[in-house]
Order: sequence, then C-alpha cells, then structure tokens
Amino acid sequence: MATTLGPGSRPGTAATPEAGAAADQAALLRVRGLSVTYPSARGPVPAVRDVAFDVRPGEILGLVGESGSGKSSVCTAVMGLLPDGTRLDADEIGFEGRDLARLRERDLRRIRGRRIALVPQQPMTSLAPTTPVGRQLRWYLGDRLDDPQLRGTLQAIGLGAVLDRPHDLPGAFSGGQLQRLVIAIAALAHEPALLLADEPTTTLDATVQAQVLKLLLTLREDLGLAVLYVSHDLAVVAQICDRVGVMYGGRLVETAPVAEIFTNPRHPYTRALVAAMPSTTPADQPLRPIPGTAEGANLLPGCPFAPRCPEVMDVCRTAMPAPVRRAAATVGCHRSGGEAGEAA
Amino acid sequence: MATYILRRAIGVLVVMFSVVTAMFLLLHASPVSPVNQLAPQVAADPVARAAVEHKMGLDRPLVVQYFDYIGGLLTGDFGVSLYDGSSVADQIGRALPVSLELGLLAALLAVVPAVGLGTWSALRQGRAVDQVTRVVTVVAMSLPGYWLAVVLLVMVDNPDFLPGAGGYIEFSEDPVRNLQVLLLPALVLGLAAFAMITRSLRGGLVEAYASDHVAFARAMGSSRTEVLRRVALRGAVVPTLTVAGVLIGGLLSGTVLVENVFQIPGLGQLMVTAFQRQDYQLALGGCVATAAIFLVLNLVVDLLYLVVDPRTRQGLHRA
Repeated sequence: MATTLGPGSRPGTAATPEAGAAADQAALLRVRGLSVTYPSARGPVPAVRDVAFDVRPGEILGLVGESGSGKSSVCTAVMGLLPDGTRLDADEIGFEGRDLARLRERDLRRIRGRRIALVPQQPMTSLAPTTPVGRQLRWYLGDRLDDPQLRGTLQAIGLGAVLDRPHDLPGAFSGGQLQRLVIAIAALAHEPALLLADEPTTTLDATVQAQVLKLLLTLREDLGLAVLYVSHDLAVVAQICDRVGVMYGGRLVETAPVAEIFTNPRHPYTRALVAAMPSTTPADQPLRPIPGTAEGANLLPGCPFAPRCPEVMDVCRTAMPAPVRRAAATVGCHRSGGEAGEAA
Repeated sequence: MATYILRRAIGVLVVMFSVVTAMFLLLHASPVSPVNQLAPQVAADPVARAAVEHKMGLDRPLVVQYFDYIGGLLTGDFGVSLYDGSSVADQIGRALPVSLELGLLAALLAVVPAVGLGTWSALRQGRAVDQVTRVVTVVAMSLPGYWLAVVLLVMVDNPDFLPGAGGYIEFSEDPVRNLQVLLLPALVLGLAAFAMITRSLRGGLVEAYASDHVAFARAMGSSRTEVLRRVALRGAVVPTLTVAGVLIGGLLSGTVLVENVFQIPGLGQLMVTAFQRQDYQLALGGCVATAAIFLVLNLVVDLLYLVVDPRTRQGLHRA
C-alpha cells in the first residue's frame, strides 16, 4: 500500500468494533486523563483537558482540530518537552510498560528519539542553520551514516542531494528535502516504535506534501512504526490515517476509524467539520463553514462546542459529557449519550 | 573570502585616514594653541608668540602642515611633542603596552565569568541563579567606574594593590607586583563589560533555546548540555561577539578615569596630559593609536563571524 489510499482501502484493525479491554491492553501508547495547562499573565490557560486515547502498534492515528485545539500540546506532553512552568496532569501516559507522565527527565531522555521520535512542523528551521547537514546527520545517526544499507535507504527516499552535498548548510536545500531529511532522522536514527508527526506537511506545497505522506507510509510499512499524526487538514488525514481523533477546545470529542469519521460522524463538531470540507461540498454549492469561532472554547465548563452547536441542549453548557462507545467510535456528546443508553 | 578580508582591510585604512584628517582639522580649527601654555611673558607678547609658532611650524599654511603630518605618519613618524620636544611615537610606545595589558586583563576578568554566568543562568532560566544574575548585572552596569575606583582606594588599605603616583611597575621588571597593581583597576574596568556580556549571552542563549532546531535536538533525545554545545551556543555567540568587540575595544584603548584614579601611565593618561597641554601632535598620535585599536578589533570580530556563522561565508559567495 503506497500511493492510492482513500478512506475505504484501509486493512486491518480499522472498522472492527473490538472489545475495549483487549484493545487497551494492546495499545502502544495509552493516554488517560491528560491535561495541559499553560501559565499566562491572566492566569492558567488550559490547552488540553482530560484527553484519553490509544495508539496501537503499527497504526496511524490522526489528531485533527483547529489551531489552538490542543493537538500539538498533546504531542509535546507525550515527549515530556512542555516548557517550564507548564502544568501536566495525567492519570497515565503509558508507553512500553512505563508511565511517561511520571518519569524523570533523565529517563525520558532515553526514550526521546530512541523509542518515540518527533517530526516537527517547521522543516526549514528544525535543523541548526549554521551547521552543515552532513555533520548534523552524523550527530543523530552516528556511525550508521557510513552503513551502505542506510545510505541506500536515504537515497531511496530522495535524500541523494543531501548525501552528495554534506558540506552545505540546511538553507541550501528545499523545504521538501529538509522535511524528508528530518523525518528520516526521526525514523531511522533509532527506529522508534512511535512517531509523533506534528503537522509535518503544513508548510509544504501540495506535491511535496504528497511525497512526504508517501514517505511516512513507506516507513510505517518497512519499520512497523506507529504514528500519531497531528493535522488540521482532514483531507490529509483521510489519506493516511487508520483512526482519527477530533479535538476541539482542548478536548477529544470523538475518536473513530477513519471511514466512520467520514461516513458516519457522530459528534456535531465532526459532522460540521466533514460537511465543511471542500471535497464533500458539491461543486456548484458554496462552502459550508461552521458558524462562530473556536476562540475561548478551551475555557468553557461544559462541551467546548456548545456555543456553535446546532443541537445544543441546556446540559451541554454546564457539564462535559462523558465519552461513550458507539461501535468502533468513542464520542463525547450529550446527544449520543441520551440516544442509546450506557457506555461500554 | 580573500577578497572579503582585503576589502575589510582597505575599509579599515579608509576609516583610519578619515579619523586622522578629522582630528587634525578639529584640533587646528579650535582656538587652542600649545603656545598658550607657555609662560605669560611669551604667550602675551605677539613677537615672542610668532617666534615660537614659527619654531613649531604652526605658522605654515594648514594644508602644508597637514600633508607634512600625513607624510610623517606614513613613514611611522608621529612627530614630536610640542610641549617638550620628545618623540610622540616613543611616548605612545611606552603608554600603549600599559593600556593594552590593563585592557586585556580587564577583558579576561570580564569575559571568563560572563561566559560561565551567562550560560548558567540561561540553563536555569527563571530560577534563583538567573534572578541573582539579573540583579548582579544590573548593579554592575549601574556602578560608575570612577566611583567604584575611589571606593576601592578607600577600602583596600594595602599598598601592594595601590601603586600611588609613579608606583606602576612593568611586567618585565616584576610580574607579580605588576599584576597586583593592575588587578584593582582591571576589576573596575571590566565590571560593566562583564555585566553586558553576561546579559547578551544569556539573552542569546534563551532565544536559541526557544528555537525550532533546539526543540528538534531535544526531541531526538539530546541533553541540555549537548544541545548547548552543538546548537544553541553558536546562535548565541554572534550577537554577543558584536557587544564584546565594542566593549573590549573600549577596555584596550585605555580609560581616562580609571587610569587617572589608579595612576596607571597608560594611553588614557597620556591623552589627558596631551589635551591639557594643548599638545596637537601628542593628542593626534593618541587618537590614531586609539582608533587603530578599535578598527583592528572590529576587523577581528568581522573575521570571527565567518568562523562562527558559516552563513556569512555563503552570503559572500553569492554577493
């Protein structure tokens, strides 16, 4: 599987409504009750609120949401790289038998880059601007850079130019080349089990974006790594993810297999989001943006989407609905809770 | 790159030439004259004045004097003091090493602790070390050097550290005593530079730590010190280099007040004397020496940029 991937063509785990407990046990990354609060001049600002999700081995989980919905903070929290002064609360950030939320910096450092690697958002600025690329490759890859097999892999993913011009500074390469380079470093330096990709294609143009996505899929195939793919672009998520978590106002409002998200979205926000996609809008119709703005949603006591929700009820404004299981999906909506009874 | 260095060197010469010309014209345009310093019988008597001015060559047209002076400079002749007829080059030759030694010592006392403290407080940003450093550097920057010098003179009651008039001893004569004598003035001189370099380096490092490439290096499992060594320091050094270059230039070229208070016979003292005596030749010579120190140091800083930030090198190729 490489190039033509649509929501329907996903093999494996996606659409099977497997039992909760078994799936949780198998999770590679198991996040429960994760909250991140940033300090500010006007008091603490919650960015992530009580988020729970699993990433299974070999799976690509998409995390979508508007800017400020907290999706990048989830990545940073999992890496243990939140800035000083930030508050991290979590019942659990389970990874390979350890709870990352409770590890010391020294132990976290042994996991960073080795077991969990991060592909950053800005390829142009993520490498040191004043050090030649060859030397930086050696920082991260060490002597393996001389390994012909690894060099072959780097060639194969289009990094021949970087290998040919090791004395050039990062500024001498294109954004696409640098993003492939950064992904190669993250994925190949220690062959981690989990890759956190924080909007890796946002700054790239469409054709380069396709190359980078293809590279991620190839690496997933070859190395069997799991990916947490953060994006605000549902179309990209549809192309590469197995499951999708939708974030809004710091909360994870719905998690479902990618096909479900597009064919049977359960949360009103997911529905509005899918309906707003240009590709789901008939050509002769105007786009359907969601009315209102997401500003301040992370401060609301109830459902963060309540002010913009067409189906809002009184309870939505005061209490956050508990997540309930619906087939393979998990939804946090009072409407869903009311319709079909109890949570799994 | 060679052309770049050549261009910079030519630039230094051009600036040097402009400084000399400007200083020459300024001194001669001012109403002062070395003759004023002579005994009133001479200074007040037009005939005697004219005789002295003729002897000093001051009655010649300005253009002639100017080209005479420039011609002398090109052959290394700074002229003779109008006050006592001694060679200006000799006087500068005696004062310059004293100022350079004092300046180097001050620079050392400024840069070494500044690098340590700047780095430390950047690594412990917002913690106690950082806060204390902030207070210490603000205080250090606000203390006037001449005031601190006087306070030290009063407080340190030890003749070893206080040469008094004529108590300065050259390094070649007695290294230990020489360093003892220079320690206090060097401390006073270097204090403000220390504070500014500390602040600059801390600020540069904090900025570098907030950059994407540091975040990536951390995400790849690098420790803070590894990140510092590989990535952050390079970015922080460039702005600090600029600050340090200017500051150290100031330290090396002699400082009037500190040299005066501690009775160090350096370039600063020499210039004060020259201006007091309205001794054109000596004052001009001092200015040339000071300007030369600044310009050479600037050139060194420019060349260091090429080493620290290879992007400047690539920019040169493109330009």
